[in-house]
Amino acid sequence: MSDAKLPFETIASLAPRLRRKEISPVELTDAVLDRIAAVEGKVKAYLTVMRDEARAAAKAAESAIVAGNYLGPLHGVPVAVKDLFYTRGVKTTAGSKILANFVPDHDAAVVERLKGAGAIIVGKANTHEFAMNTWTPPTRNPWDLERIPGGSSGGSGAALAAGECIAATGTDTGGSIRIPASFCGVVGLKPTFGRVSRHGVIPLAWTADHAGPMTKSVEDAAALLRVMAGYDPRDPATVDVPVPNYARALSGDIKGLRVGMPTNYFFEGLDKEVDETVRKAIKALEGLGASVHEVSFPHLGSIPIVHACIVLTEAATYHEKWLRTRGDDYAPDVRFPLEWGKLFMGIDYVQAQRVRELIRQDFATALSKVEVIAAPTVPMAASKVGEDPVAIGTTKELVISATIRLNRPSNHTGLPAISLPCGFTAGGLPIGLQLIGRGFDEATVLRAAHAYEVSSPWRLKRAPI
Amino acid sequence: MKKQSDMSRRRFIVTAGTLGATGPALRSAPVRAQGAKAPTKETLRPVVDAADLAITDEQLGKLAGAVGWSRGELAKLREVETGLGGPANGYLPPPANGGGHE
Repeated sequence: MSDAKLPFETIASLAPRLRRKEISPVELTDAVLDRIAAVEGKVKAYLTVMRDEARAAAKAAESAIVAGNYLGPLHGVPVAVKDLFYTRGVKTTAGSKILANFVPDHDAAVVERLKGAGAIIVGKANTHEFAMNTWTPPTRNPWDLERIPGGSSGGSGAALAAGECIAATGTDTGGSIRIPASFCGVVGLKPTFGRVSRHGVIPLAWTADHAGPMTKSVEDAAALLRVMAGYDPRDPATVDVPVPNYARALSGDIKGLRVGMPTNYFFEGLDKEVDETVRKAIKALEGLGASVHEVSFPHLGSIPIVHACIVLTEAATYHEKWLRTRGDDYAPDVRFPLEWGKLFMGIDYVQAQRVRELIRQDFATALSKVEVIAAPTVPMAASKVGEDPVAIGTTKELVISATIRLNRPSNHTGLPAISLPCGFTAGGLPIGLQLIGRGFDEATVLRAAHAYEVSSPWRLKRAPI
Repeated sequence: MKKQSDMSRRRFIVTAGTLGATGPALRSAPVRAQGAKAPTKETLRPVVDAADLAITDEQLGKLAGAVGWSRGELAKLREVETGLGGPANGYLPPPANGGGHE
Protein backbone atom coordinates (compact mmCIF):
# COMPACT_ATOMS: atom_id res chain seq x y z
CA MET A 1 0.00 0.00 0.00
CA SER A 2 1.32 3.43 -0.93
CA ASP A 3 2.16 6.25 1.48
CA ALA A 4 -1.09 8.26 1.70
CA LYS A 5 0.76 11.42 2.74
CA LEU A 6 2.94 11.67 -0.36
CA PRO A 7 0.27 13.10 -2.73
CA PHE A 8 -0.07 16.17 -0.51
CA GLU A 9 3.61 17.04 -0.59
CA THR A 10 5.25 19.67 -2.77
CA ILE A 11 7.99 19.53 -5.38
CA ALA A 12 10.24 21.32 -2.91
CA SER A 13 9.74 18.69 -0.21
CA LEU A 14 9.87 15.69 -2.56
CA ALA A 15 12.76 16.60 -4.87
CA PRO A 16 15.57 16.25 -2.30
CA ARG A 17 14.16 12.90 -1.16
CA LEU A 18 13.90 11.66 -4.73
CA ARG A 19 17.46 12.81 -5.42
CA ARG A 20 18.75 11.05 -2.30
CA LYS A 21 16.77 7.91 -3.29
CA GLU A 22 14.81 8.01 -0.02
CA ILE A 23 11.64 7.61 -2.04
CA SER A 24 11.31 6.29 -5.56
CA PRO A 25 9.36 7.84 -8.44
CA VAL A 26 7.40 4.58 -8.65
CA GLU A 27 6.36 4.79 -4.99
CA LEU A 28 5.38 8.43 -5.42
CA THR A 29 3.50 7.87 -8.67
CA ASP A 30 1.63 4.89 -7.20
CA ALA A 31 0.64 7.02 -4.20
CA VAL A 32 -0.76 9.70 -6.51
CA LEU A 33 -2.56 7.12 -8.69
CA ASP A 34 -4.05 5.53 -5.55
CA ARG A 35 -5.26 8.95 -4.40
CA ILE A 36 -6.81 9.56 -7.83
CA ALA A 37 -8.60 6.20 -7.56
CA ALA A 38 -9.86 7.13 -4.10
CA VAL A 39 -11.33 10.59 -4.76
CA GLU A 40 -11.72 11.03 -8.51
CA GLY A 41 -15.30 9.78 -8.40
CA LYS A 42 -16.19 12.88 -6.39
CA VAL A 43 -13.76 15.47 -7.77
CA LYS A 44 -13.76 14.52 -11.48
CA ALA A 45 -10.57 16.49 -12.10
CA TYR A 46 -9.30 14.34 -14.97
CA LEU A 47 -10.53 13.57 -18.47
CA THR A 48 -7.84 10.90 -18.92
CA VAL A 49 -5.78 9.20 -16.24
CA MET A 50 -2.55 7.91 -17.80
CA ARG A 51 -2.01 5.08 -15.32
CA ASP A 52 0.10 2.79 -17.54
CA GLU A 53 2.12 5.59 -19.15
CA ALA A 54 2.78 7.16 -15.75
CA ARG A 55 3.96 3.88 -14.22
CA ALA A 56 6.28 3.23 -17.18
CA ALA A 57 7.71 6.76 -16.95
CA ALA A 58 8.15 6.39 -13.19
CA LYS A 59 10.09 3.15 -13.64
CA ALA A 60 12.33 4.85 -16.21
CA ALA A 61 12.88 7.79 -13.83
CA GLU A 62 13.72 5.40 -11.00
CA SER A 63 16.29 3.61 -13.15
CA ALA A 64 17.83 6.92 -14.21
CA ILE A 65 18.10 8.23 -10.65
CA VAL A 66 19.54 4.95 -9.37
CA ALA A 67 22.10 5.11 -12.20
CA GLY A 68 23.12 8.60 -11.04
CA ASN A 69 21.37 10.52 -13.79
CA TYR A 70 19.23 12.84 -11.67
CA LEU A 71 17.78 15.56 -13.93
CA GLY A 72 16.59 18.12 -11.39
CA PRO A 73 13.64 19.01 -9.15
CA LEU A 74 10.93 17.67 -11.48
CA HIS A 75 12.57 14.27 -11.96
CA GLY A 76 10.08 11.64 -10.87
CA VAL A 77 7.39 14.18 -9.91
CA PRO A 78 3.77 13.41 -10.98
CA VAL A 79 2.30 16.31 -12.97
CA ALA A 80 -1.22 16.83 -14.37
CA VAL A 81 -1.45 18.45 -17.81
CA LYS A 82 -4.48 20.49 -18.81
CA ASP A 83 -6.29 18.81 -21.69
CA LEU A 84 -5.57 21.79 -23.92
CA PHE A 85 -1.91 20.73 -24.28
CA TYR A 86 -1.09 18.20 -27.01
CA THR A 87 0.17 14.90 -25.64
CA ARG A 88 1.64 12.47 -28.15
CA GLY A 89 -0.41 9.28 -28.37
CA VAL A 90 -2.85 10.43 -25.66
CA LYS A 91 -6.30 11.91 -26.31
CA THR A 92 -6.39 15.71 -26.20
CA THR A 93 -9.99 16.81 -26.25
CA ALA A 94 -10.07 20.40 -24.97
CA GLY A 95 -13.06 19.14 -22.99
CA SER A 96 -15.15 19.13 -26.16
CA LYS A 97 -17.14 16.66 -28.24
CA ILE A 98 -15.51 18.31 -31.25
CA LEU A 99 -12.14 16.75 -30.38
CA ALA A 100 -13.47 13.72 -28.49
CA ASN A 101 -11.25 11.31 -30.42
CA PHE A 102 -8.30 13.53 -31.25
CA VAL A 103 -4.92 11.93 -30.53
CA PRO A 104 -1.96 14.24 -31.34
CA ASP A 105 1.15 12.83 -32.98
CA HIS A 106 3.41 15.16 -31.02
CA ASP A 107 3.72 16.80 -27.62
CA ALA A 108 3.16 20.46 -26.86
CA ALA A 109 6.41 22.34 -26.21
CA VAL A 110 5.58 22.51 -22.50
CA VAL A 111 4.97 18.75 -22.36
CA GLU A 112 8.28 18.16 -24.17
CA ARG A 113 10.03 20.29 -21.57
CA LEU A 114 8.31 18.57 -18.65
CA LYS A 115 9.20 15.12 -19.96
CA GLY A 116 12.74 16.31 -20.68
CA ALA A 117 13.03 17.37 -17.04
CA GLY A 118 11.91 13.89 -15.94
CA ALA A 119 8.36 14.78 -14.84
CA ILE A 120 5.78 11.98 -14.80
CA ILE A 121 2.60 12.94 -16.67
CA VAL A 122 -0.22 11.29 -14.69
CA GLY A 123 -3.17 12.52 -16.70
CA LYS A 124 -5.06 15.11 -18.69
CA ALA A 125 -6.84 17.52 -16.39
CA ASN A 126 -10.32 18.74 -17.23
CA THR A 127 -10.80 22.12 -18.88
CA HIS A 128 -13.92 24.11 -19.50
CA GLU A 129 -14.74 23.36 -23.14
CA PHE A 130 -12.07 25.01 -25.32
CA ALA A 131 -11.15 27.17 -22.27
CA MET A 132 -14.21 29.30 -23.04
CA ASN A 133 -15.71 29.58 -19.54
CA THR A 134 -14.86 29.32 -15.88
CA TRP A 135 -16.83 26.61 -14.10
CA THR A 136 -15.31 23.48 -15.74
CA PRO A 137 -18.09 20.89 -15.46
CA PRO A 138 -18.23 18.21 -14.15
CA THR A 139 -15.22 18.97 -11.93
CA ARG A 140 -16.04 19.91 -8.33
CA ASN A 141 -14.17 22.01 -5.80
CA PRO A 142 -12.41 19.82 -3.19
CA TRP A 143 -13.06 22.47 -0.51
CA ASP A 144 -16.81 22.05 -1.02
CA LEU A 145 -18.04 19.52 -3.54
CA GLU A 146 -21.19 21.55 -4.13
CA ARG A 147 -19.08 24.38 -5.57
CA ILE A 148 -17.26 25.03 -8.82
CA PRO A 149 -13.48 24.75 -9.03
CA GLY A 150 -13.23 27.80 -11.30
CA GLY A 151 -11.74 27.57 -14.72
CA SER A 152 -10.95 27.06 -17.35
CA SER A 153 -8.04 25.13 -15.76
CA GLY A 154 -10.48 23.81 -13.14
CA GLY A 155 -9.26 20.22 -13.41
CA SER A 156 -5.70 21.30 -12.61
CA GLY A 157 -6.79 23.39 -9.61
CA ALA A 158 -9.05 20.65 -8.23
CA ALA A 159 -6.44 17.92 -8.77
CA LEU A 160 -3.87 19.94 -6.81
CA ALA A 161 -6.26 20.70 -3.96
CA ALA A 162 -7.38 17.06 -3.73
CA GLY A 163 -3.85 15.62 -3.77
CA GLU A 164 -4.38 14.07 -7.20
CA CYS A 165 -1.06 15.43 -8.52
CA ILE A 166 2.01 17.23 -7.21
CA ALA A 167 1.97 20.01 -9.82
CA ALA A 168 -0.04 20.94 -12.89
CA THR A 169 -0.11 23.05 -16.02
CA GLY A 170 -2.76 25.58 -16.97
CA THR A 171 -3.56 28.14 -19.62
CA ASP A 172 -4.88 31.65 -19.05
CA THR A 173 -6.67 33.96 -21.50
CA GLY A 174 -8.85 35.84 -19.01
CA GLY A 175 -7.75 34.33 -15.70
CA SER A 176 -7.99 30.59 -16.39
CA ILE A 177 -4.91 29.78 -14.31
CA ARG A 178 -5.55 32.31 -11.53
CA ILE A 179 -9.31 31.80 -11.07
CA PRO A 180 -9.11 28.07 -10.24
CA ALA A 181 -5.99 28.76 -8.18
CA SER A 182 -8.01 31.24 -6.11
CA PHE A 183 -11.09 29.01 -5.81
CA CYS A 184 -9.11 25.85 -5.01
CA GLY A 185 -6.60 27.42 -2.59
CA VAL A 186 -3.49 26.78 -4.67
CA VAL A 187 -0.89 28.87 -6.52
CA GLY A 188 -1.30 29.83 -10.18
CA LEU A 189 1.17 31.89 -12.19
CA LYS A 190 0.36 33.48 -15.52
CA PRO A 191 3.81 34.36 -16.86
CA THR A 192 4.65 37.28 -19.13
CA PHE A 193 3.29 36.94 -22.67
CA GLY A 194 6.15 35.36 -24.62
CA ARG A 195 7.78 33.64 -21.63
CA VAL A 196 6.28 30.16 -22.20
CA SER A 197 5.71 28.56 -25.60
CA ARG A 198 2.12 27.83 -26.67
CA HIS A 199 3.27 25.46 -29.42
CA GLY A 200 0.89 22.52 -29.27
CA VAL A 201 -1.65 24.31 -27.08
CA ILE A 202 -5.17 24.52 -28.51
CA PRO A 203 -5.77 28.27 -28.86
CA LEU A 204 -8.53 30.41 -27.45
CA ALA A 205 -7.25 33.85 -28.48
CA TRP A 206 -3.72 34.11 -29.81
CA THR A 207 -2.91 37.58 -28.52
CA ALA A 208 -4.09 36.84 -24.97
CA ASP A 209 -3.30 33.14 -24.45
CA HIS A 210 -0.65 32.22 -21.89
CA ALA A 211 0.55 28.88 -20.50
CA GLY A 212 1.86 28.60 -16.96
CA PRO A 213 2.34 26.58 -13.78
CA MET A 214 -0.22 25.66 -11.11
CA THR A 215 1.23 24.33 -7.88
CA LYS A 216 0.77 23.93 -4.13
CA SER A 217 3.37 26.55 -3.23
CA VAL A 218 5.15 29.56 -4.67
CA GLU A 219 8.46 27.73 -4.48
CA ASP A 220 6.97 24.99 -6.66
CA ALA A 221 5.68 27.56 -9.14
CA ALA A 222 9.24 28.87 -9.45
CA ALA A 223 10.55 25.36 -10.11
CA LEU A 224 7.87 24.55 -12.69
CA LEU A 225 8.17 27.89 -14.52
CA ARG A 226 11.92 27.40 -14.79
CA VAL A 227 11.28 24.23 -16.80
CA MET A 228 8.28 25.49 -18.80
CA ALA A 229 9.83 28.81 -19.86
CA GLY A 230 12.09 29.57 -22.79
CA TYR A 231 12.31 30.74 -26.35
CA ASP A 232 10.68 28.49 -28.94
CA PRO A 233 10.76 29.38 -32.64
CA ARG A 234 7.58 27.31 -33.09
CA ASP A 235 5.66 29.94 -31.09
CA PRO A 236 6.51 33.27 -32.73
CA ALA A 237 5.27 35.11 -29.63
CA THR A 238 8.03 33.73 -27.41
CA VAL A 239 10.85 36.12 -26.70
CA ASP A 240 14.51 35.18 -26.66
CA VAL A 241 15.44 36.46 -23.23
CA PRO A 242 17.28 34.58 -20.48
CA VAL A 243 15.23 32.40 -18.11
CA PRO A 244 16.39 33.19 -14.57
CA ASN A 245 16.86 30.57 -11.90
CA TYR A 246 13.72 31.69 -10.08
CA ALA A 247 14.48 29.67 -6.96
CA ARG A 248 17.37 32.05 -6.25
CA ALA A 249 14.91 34.97 -6.10
CA LEU A 250 13.01 33.41 -3.20
CA SER A 251 14.98 35.11 -0.46
CA GLY A 252 12.02 35.78 1.80
CA ASP A 253 13.19 39.38 1.97
CA ILE A 254 10.92 42.11 0.56
CA LYS A 255 12.24 45.02 2.60
CA GLY A 256 11.95 48.13 0.46
CA LEU A 257 9.74 46.46 -2.17
CA ARG A 258 7.25 48.97 -3.57
CA VAL A 259 3.72 47.55 -3.77
CA GLY A 260 0.96 49.27 -5.75
CA MET A 261 -2.50 49.57 -4.20
CA PRO A 262 -5.06 50.26 -6.96
CA THR A 263 -7.38 53.19 -6.30
CA ASN A 264 -9.80 52.18 -9.05
CA TYR A 265 -11.21 49.04 -10.70
CA PHE A 266 -9.55 46.25 -8.67
CA PHE A 267 -11.30 46.93 -5.35
CA GLU A 268 -14.72 47.73 -6.80
CA GLY A 269 -17.68 45.33 -6.51
CA LEU A 270 -16.03 42.90 -4.12
CA ASP A 271 -17.54 40.49 -1.65
CA LYS A 272 -16.92 41.96 1.82
CA GLU A 273 -14.87 39.01 3.07
CA VAL A 274 -12.67 39.09 -0.04
CA ASP A 275 -12.14 42.84 0.29
CA GLU A 276 -11.15 42.61 3.96
CA THR A 277 -8.95 39.55 3.53
CA VAL A 278 -6.97 40.97 0.61
CA ARG A 279 -6.48 44.30 2.37
CA LYS A 280 -5.13 42.36 5.38
CA ALA A 281 -2.72 40.54 3.09
CA ILE A 282 -1.44 43.84 1.70
CA LYS A 283 -0.97 45.06 5.28
CA ALA A 284 1.01 41.89 5.89
CA LEU A 285 3.28 42.72 2.94
CA GLU A 286 3.82 46.10 4.56
CA GLY A 287 4.62 44.32 7.81
CA LEU A 288 7.32 42.40 5.97
CA GLY A 289 9.04 45.62 4.96
CA ALA A 290 7.30 46.56 1.71
CA SER A 291 5.96 50.07 1.17
CA VAL A 292 2.48 50.55 -0.27
CA HIS A 293 1.72 53.25 -2.87
CA GLU A 294 -1.51 54.20 -4.61
CA VAL A 295 -1.72 53.49 -8.35
CA SER A 296 -4.54 54.08 -10.83
CA PHE A 297 -5.56 52.85 -14.27
CA PRO A 298 -7.53 55.50 -16.18
CA HIS A 299 -8.45 53.32 -19.17
CA LEU A 300 -9.59 50.14 -17.41
CA GLY A 301 -13.23 51.15 -17.83
CA SER A 302 -12.87 49.97 -21.42
CA ILE A 303 -11.44 46.54 -20.56
CA PRO A 304 -14.76 44.61 -20.67
CA ILE A 305 -15.45 45.47 -24.31
CA VAL A 306 -11.76 45.35 -25.28
CA HIS A 307 -11.57 41.83 -23.86
CA ALA A 308 -14.85 40.67 -25.40
CA CYS A 309 -14.05 42.09 -28.84
CA ILE A 310 -10.48 40.77 -29.03
CA VAL A 311 -10.94 37.37 -27.41
CA LEU A 312 -14.26 36.49 -29.02
CA THR A 313 -13.20 37.65 -32.49
CA GLU A 314 -9.99 35.62 -32.33
CA ALA A 315 -11.81 32.61 -30.86
CA ALA A 316 -14.53 32.78 -33.52
CA THR A 317 -11.81 32.81 -36.18
CA TYR A 318 -10.30 29.58 -34.85
CA HIS A 319 -13.71 27.90 -34.45
CA GLU A 320 -15.39 29.24 -37.61
CA LYS A 321 -15.38 26.01 -39.58
CA TRP A 322 -16.60 23.84 -36.69
CA LEU A 323 -19.33 26.35 -35.87
CA ARG A 324 -20.64 25.96 -39.40
CA THR A 325 -20.34 22.21 -39.57
CA ARG A 326 -20.68 20.97 -35.97
CA GLY A 327 -22.38 23.76 -34.09
CA ASP A 328 -24.60 21.42 -32.09
CA ASP A 329 -21.53 19.67 -30.67
CA TYR A 330 -20.66 22.74 -28.58
CA ALA A 331 -22.25 23.38 -25.19
CA PRO A 332 -24.53 26.45 -25.45
CA ASP A 333 -22.40 28.52 -23.05
CA VAL A 334 -19.47 28.05 -25.43
CA ARG A 335 -21.26 28.20 -28.77
CA PHE A 336 -23.14 31.43 -28.25
CA PRO A 337 -20.13 33.59 -27.29
CA LEU A 338 -18.31 32.15 -30.30
CA GLU A 339 -21.20 33.16 -32.56
CA TRP A 340 -21.15 36.57 -30.87
CA GLY A 341 -17.48 36.79 -31.89
CA LYS A 342 -18.52 36.78 -35.54
CA LEU A 343 -20.51 39.97 -35.12
CA PHE A 344 -17.66 42.38 -34.40
CA MET A 345 -16.44 44.46 -37.32
CA GLY A 346 -12.82 44.80 -38.34
CA ILE A 347 -12.60 48.42 -37.25
CA ASP A 348 -13.91 47.48 -33.81
CA TYR A 349 -11.25 44.80 -33.41
CA VAL A 350 -8.50 47.23 -34.39
CA GLN A 351 -9.87 49.98 -32.16
CA ALA A 352 -9.95 47.47 -29.29
CA GLN A 353 -6.26 46.80 -29.96
CA ARG A 354 -5.53 50.54 -29.91
CA VAL A 355 -7.31 51.00 -26.58
CA ARG A 356 -5.51 47.91 -25.30
CA GLU A 357 -2.28 49.85 -25.87
CA LEU A 358 -3.60 52.68 -23.68
CA ILE A 359 -4.31 50.14 -20.95
CA ARG A 360 -0.76 48.82 -21.34
CA GLN A 361 0.51 52.36 -20.89
CA ASP A 362 -1.56 52.75 -17.70
CA PHE A 363 0.17 49.70 -16.25
CA ALA A 364 3.58 50.83 -17.50
CA THR A 365 3.09 54.13 -15.68
CA ALA A 366 1.99 52.38 -12.48
CA LEU A 367 4.87 49.91 -12.67
CA SER A 368 7.38 52.71 -13.12
CA LYS A 369 6.51 53.69 -9.54
CA VAL A 370 6.06 50.27 -7.96
CA GLU A 371 7.45 46.79 -8.56
CA VAL A 372 4.26 44.80 -8.02
CA ILE A 373 0.55 45.63 -7.92
CA ALA A 374 -1.58 43.86 -5.31
CA ALA A 375 -5.26 43.04 -5.84
CA PRO A 376 -7.83 40.32 -5.28
CA THR A 377 -7.82 37.52 -7.87
CA VAL A 378 -11.59 37.07 -7.99
CA PRO A 379 -14.26 39.32 -6.36
CA MET A 380 -15.81 36.38 -4.50
CA ALA A 381 -15.07 32.84 -3.31
CA ALA A 382 -16.17 29.77 -5.31
CA SER A 383 -19.85 29.86 -6.19
CA LYS A 384 -22.26 26.93 -6.02
CA VAL A 385 -22.63 24.67 -9.03
CA GLY A 386 -25.45 26.07 -11.18
CA GLU A 387 -25.61 29.40 -9.31
CA ASP A 388 -25.44 31.92 -12.15
CA PRO A 389 -25.67 34.87 -11.81
CA VAL A 390 -23.96 34.94 -8.46
CA ALA A 391 -24.65 37.42 -5.66
CA ILE A 392 -21.69 39.64 -4.74
CA GLY A 393 -22.73 41.92 -1.92
CA THR A 394 -26.00 43.49 -2.99
CA THR A 395 -25.52 42.98 -6.74
CA LYS A 396 -25.73 39.98 -9.02
CA GLU A 397 -23.21 39.24 -11.74
CA LEU A 398 -22.72 36.43 -14.25
CA VAL A 399 -20.07 33.96 -13.06
CA ILE A 400 -18.01 34.42 -16.24
CA SER A 401 -18.07 38.20 -15.88
CA ALA A 402 -17.24 38.19 -12.17
CA THR A 403 -14.47 35.62 -12.35
CA ILE A 404 -12.52 37.16 -15.23
CA ARG A 405 -13.08 40.79 -14.12
CA LEU A 406 -9.87 41.28 -12.13
CA ASN A 407 -7.78 38.89 -14.21
CA ARG A 408 -8.28 39.97 -17.83
CA PRO A 409 -6.19 43.18 -17.61
CA SER A 410 -3.00 41.12 -17.35
CA ASN A 411 -3.97 39.04 -20.37
CA HIS A 412 -4.08 42.19 -22.47
CA THR A 413 -1.01 43.86 -20.99
CA GLY A 414 0.87 40.55 -21.04
CA LEU A 415 2.26 41.28 -17.58
CA PRO A 416 3.03 38.39 -15.19
CA ALA A 417 0.44 37.79 -12.46
CA ILE A 418 0.27 35.23 -9.68
CA SER A 419 -2.60 34.12 -7.44
CA LEU A 420 -1.84 32.63 -4.03
CA PRO A 421 -4.03 31.83 -1.01
CA CYS A 422 -4.39 34.71 1.46
CA GLY A 423 -7.18 33.49 3.72
CA PHE A 424 -10.56 31.80 3.90
CA THR A 425 -14.17 32.85 4.14
CA ALA A 426 -16.12 32.08 7.30
CA GLY A 427 -17.53 29.15 5.34
CA GLY A 428 -14.05 27.73 4.76
CA LEU A 429 -13.55 28.69 1.11
CA PRO A 430 -10.15 29.91 -0.12
CA ILE A 431 -9.53 33.54 -1.14
CA GLY A 432 -6.78 34.54 -3.56
CA LEU A 433 -4.31 37.43 -3.51
CA GLN A 434 -3.12 38.54 -6.94
CA LEU A 435 0.29 40.14 -7.52
CA ILE A 436 1.01 41.68 -10.93
CA GLY A 437 4.56 42.53 -11.94
CA ARG A 438 6.69 44.05 -14.66
CA GLY A 439 7.17 42.30 -17.98
CA PHE A 440 9.59 39.34 -17.75
CA ASP A 441 10.12 40.07 -14.06
CA GLU A 442 8.42 36.95 -12.72
CA ALA A 443 11.33 36.75 -10.26
CA THR A 444 10.09 39.77 -8.29
CA VAL A 445 6.47 38.55 -8.41
CA LEU A 446 7.61 35.17 -7.06
CA ARG A 447 9.83 36.81 -4.41
CA ALA A 448 6.93 38.90 -3.08
CA ALA A 449 4.49 35.99 -3.19
CA HIS A 450 6.95 33.65 -1.48
CA ALA A 451 7.70 36.15 1.30
CA TYR A 452 3.97 36.47 1.99
CA GLU A 453 3.38 32.73 1.75
CA VAL A 454 6.06 31.70 4.24
CA SER A 455 4.82 34.30 6.71
CA SER A 456 1.21 33.10 6.53
CA PRO A 457 -0.40 29.80 7.56
CA TRP A 458 -2.75 29.41 4.62
CA ARG A 459 -0.97 26.83 2.50
CA LEU A 460 -0.80 24.42 5.41
CA LYS A 461 -4.60 24.02 5.29
CA ARG A 462 -5.82 21.05 3.33
CA ALA A 463 -9.14 20.62 1.52
CA PRO A 464 -11.50 18.45 3.59
CA ILE A 465 -11.89 15.67 1.05
CA MET B 1 -36.87 28.49 -54.95
CA LYS B 2 -35.65 32.07 -54.66
CA LYS B 3 -34.05 33.80 -57.58
CA GLN B 4 -30.25 33.74 -57.55
CA SER B 5 -30.03 37.50 -57.26
CA ASP B 6 -31.86 37.44 -53.90
CA MET B 7 -29.61 34.84 -52.33
CA SER B 8 -26.70 35.36 -50.03
CA ARG B 9 -23.36 34.17 -51.36
CA ARG B 10 -23.13 31.21 -49.01
CA ARG B 11 -26.77 30.23 -49.51
CA PHE B 12 -26.14 30.28 -53.23
CA ILE B 13 -23.10 28.04 -52.93
CA VAL B 14 -24.96 25.61 -50.71
CA THR B 15 -27.95 25.52 -53.05
CA ALA B 16 -25.79 25.18 -56.12
CA GLY B 17 -23.82 22.41 -54.45
CA THR B 18 -27.03 20.56 -53.67
CA LEU B 19 -27.98 20.78 -57.31
CA GLY B 20 -24.68 19.22 -58.33
CA ALA B 21 -22.97 22.28 -59.76
CA THR B 22 -19.30 21.93 -60.63
CA GLY B 23 -16.42 23.72 -58.92
CA PRO B 24 -15.74 26.34 -61.62
CA ALA B 25 -19.41 27.23 -61.74
CA LEU B 26 -19.43 27.71 -57.96
CA ARG B 27 -16.49 30.07 -58.10
CA SER B 28 -17.91 32.34 -60.77
CA ALA B 29 -21.61 32.24 -60.09
CA PRO B 30 -21.60 34.01 -56.69
CA VAL B 31 -19.84 36.97 -58.21
CA ARG B 32 -22.56 37.28 -60.78
CA ALA B 33 -25.19 36.81 -58.12
CA GLN B 34 -23.76 39.54 -55.93
CA GLY B 35 -23.03 41.80 -58.87
CA ALA B 36 -26.68 41.73 -59.81
CA LYS B 37 -27.57 43.61 -56.64
CA ALA B 38 -27.48 47.36 -56.73
CA PRO B 39 -24.88 48.64 -54.24
CA THR B 40 -26.89 50.33 -51.52
CA LYS B 41 -26.15 51.04 -47.85
CA GLU B 42 -28.18 47.95 -47.09
CA THR B 43 -26.40 45.54 -49.45
CA LEU B 44 -22.92 46.87 -48.71
CA ARG B 45 -23.35 47.19 -44.96
CA PRO B 46 -20.57 45.07 -43.42
CA VAL B 47 -22.83 42.69 -41.55
CA VAL B 48 -22.50 38.98 -41.08
CA ASP B 49 -24.05 36.82 -43.74
CA ALA B 50 -27.00 35.21 -41.97
CA ALA B 51 -25.98 31.83 -43.33
CA ASP B 52 -22.62 32.16 -41.56
CA LEU B 53 -24.41 32.03 -38.23
CA ALA B 54 -25.11 28.35 -38.01
CA ILE B 55 -27.70 28.76 -35.28
CA THR B 56 -31.44 29.26 -35.34
CA ASP B 57 -33.10 32.65 -34.93
CA GLU B 58 -34.39 31.45 -31.57
CA GLN B 59 -30.85 30.60 -30.43
CA LEU B 60 -29.61 33.86 -31.88
CA GLY B 61 -32.19 35.65 -29.78
CA LYS B 62 -30.26 34.56 -26.68
CA LEU B 63 -27.38 36.68 -27.93
CA ALA B 64 -29.50 39.80 -28.16
CA GLY B 65 -28.50 41.06 -24.73
CA ALA B 66 -24.80 40.56 -25.37
CA VAL B 67 -24.99 42.10 -28.82
CA GLY B 68 -26.95 45.09 -27.52
CA TRP B 69 -24.39 45.60 -24.75
CA SER B 70 -21.47 45.35 -27.17
CA ARG B 71 -23.10 47.83 -29.60
CA GLY B 72 -23.29 50.43 -26.85
CA GLU B 73 -19.78 49.70 -25.58
CA LEU B 74 -18.26 49.66 -29.07
CA ALA B 75 -19.79 53.06 -29.76
CA LYS B 76 -18.03 54.34 -26.64
CA LEU B 77 -14.82 52.55 -27.60
CA ARG B 78 -14.71 54.36 -30.93
CA GLU B 79 -14.72 57.65 -29.05
CA VAL B 80 -11.66 56.79 -26.95
CA GLU B 81 -8.79 59.10 -27.99
CA THR B 82 -6.05 56.80 -29.24
CA GLY B 83 -3.87 59.34 -31.06
CA LEU B 84 -1.74 58.00 -33.89
CA GLY B 85 -1.15 54.60 -32.34
CA GLY B 86 -2.19 51.27 -33.78
CA PRO B 87 -1.42 47.58 -33.45
CA ALA B 88 2.22 46.63 -33.92
CA ASN B 89 3.55 44.41 -36.64
CA GLY B 90 4.11 41.10 -34.91
CA TYR B 91 7.46 40.56 -36.59
CA LEU B 92 10.25 39.66 -34.21
CA PRO B 93 13.82 39.42 -35.45
CA PRO B 94 15.45 36.00 -35.19
CA PRO B 95 17.35 35.39 -31.96
CA ALA B 96 20.72 37.05 -31.85
CA ASN B 97 22.34 35.73 -28.70
CA GLY B 98 20.07 32.94 -27.54
CA GLY B 99 18.40 33.55 -24.20
CA GLY B 100 18.85 30.18 -22.59
CA HIS B 101 18.51 29.28 -18.94
CA GLU B 102 20.67 31.16 -16.44
